[in-house]
Amino acid sequence: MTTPTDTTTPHLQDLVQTVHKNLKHLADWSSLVIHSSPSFPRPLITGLPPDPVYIDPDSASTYNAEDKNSPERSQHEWVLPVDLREKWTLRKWAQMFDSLPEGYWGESGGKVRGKRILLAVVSDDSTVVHYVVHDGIVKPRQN
Amino acid sequence: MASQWGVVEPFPIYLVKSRYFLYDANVVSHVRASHRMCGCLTGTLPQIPQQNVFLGLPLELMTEEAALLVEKGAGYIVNDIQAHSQGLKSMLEADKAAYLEAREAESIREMQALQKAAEERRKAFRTPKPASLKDNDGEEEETGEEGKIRDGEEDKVGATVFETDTAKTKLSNAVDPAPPSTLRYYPVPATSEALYHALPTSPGLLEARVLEPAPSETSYPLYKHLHEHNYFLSPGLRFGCQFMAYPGDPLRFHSHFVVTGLGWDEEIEMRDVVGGGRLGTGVKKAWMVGGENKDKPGEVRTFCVEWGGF
Repeated sequence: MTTPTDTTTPHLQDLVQTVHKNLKHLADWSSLVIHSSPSFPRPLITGLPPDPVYIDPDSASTYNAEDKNSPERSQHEWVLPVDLREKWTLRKWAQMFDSLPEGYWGESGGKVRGKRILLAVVSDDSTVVHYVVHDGIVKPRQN
Repeated sequence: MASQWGVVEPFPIYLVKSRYFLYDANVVSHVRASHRMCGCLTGTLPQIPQQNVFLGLPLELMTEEAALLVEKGAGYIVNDIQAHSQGLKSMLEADKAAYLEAREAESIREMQALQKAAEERRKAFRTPKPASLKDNDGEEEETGEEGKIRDGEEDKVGATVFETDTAKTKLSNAVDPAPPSTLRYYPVPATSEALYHALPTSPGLLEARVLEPAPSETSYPLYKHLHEHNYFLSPGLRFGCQFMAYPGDPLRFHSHFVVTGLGWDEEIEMRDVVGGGRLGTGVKKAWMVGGENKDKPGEVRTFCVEWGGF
């Protein structure tokens, strides 16, 4: 299921390239890096979004969007490219999160935050939609 | 150990056709305050059964709630129908006779009151005899033969406005006392538990475990996991999910998550993940999916999905 050969299939390479281009040119992300380590079930992308993808609702009132040095601003995000036609299971999600490096994942609202990834779903018309997936019970942000 | 509401655990949870009910308001309060379970009020007004805005007792519990209460030893399941018919059967003859006697006495009292009220109404109608009516009487006497014929008719009919002395006596006889069976009111105690229900001595039934609720394997571990993290859960069909998860009492908080339980290897379409994310974000919540790790029994993994925002 998570053999290293998976990461080299042309299908996955295409998927990663599509999402990478989308993030770089459309969503204006910076510091984009593609990780195709065999420890991951498939190639992943990390990068820095122009705006934080998640702000803890408890710190939403103190968060200052102008402050370029706030901890929320410097959070690099992991991006998981998937095809719309794929089917996932809880087991695959869990393996995905467990393969991500352990340790310090940054802070959110003064609290050390857990793991999260950005799910980039690619449709066959090359539309890409992004969904934040948190590992564990995480309060929804304030919209 | 009785709680603040005088509830002693384990308390009975009534099972009717695979649905679980609580009939006692004190138990409902206790379950909400001590066990973080709200259930659903299902009772409506017999006269206006369509209205569903103000519902009351009984409280229906989700299967998961009933299962967790039994698992905690806080409640035990009673098969309501069986307990009811058993209770009726085991009612003592003397009790039954006393109850029927009381019912009979009450209906006779009711009947007499009804009769008395009718009598009084009639009296009130007759006593202030207006002058015009007296004139009528005089005319009748004068007409002689015709008047007598009319009297005869009145005898048969029983009552008309023009009453003679003979008709008056006939009239009071004509109102038969209503037979007790037609009376609509019988005194029935407000709670039937003590009267009709044969409640098993609690620990015995807990050991039997015959009636233990069997909730879905995909949703129960997730339900329990969230419950242990101090969430209140309510049924989520109205919101397009399995459970709604509130961070505290639903009267004080908005819910945080729309929750769907999955099996560990149950496949989910990407389109459903996107749809779930949209569903949650659209109502300022997160869509949560989760289930029990089959490789590590007891461990529950949950994932919260929100729209990325761009």
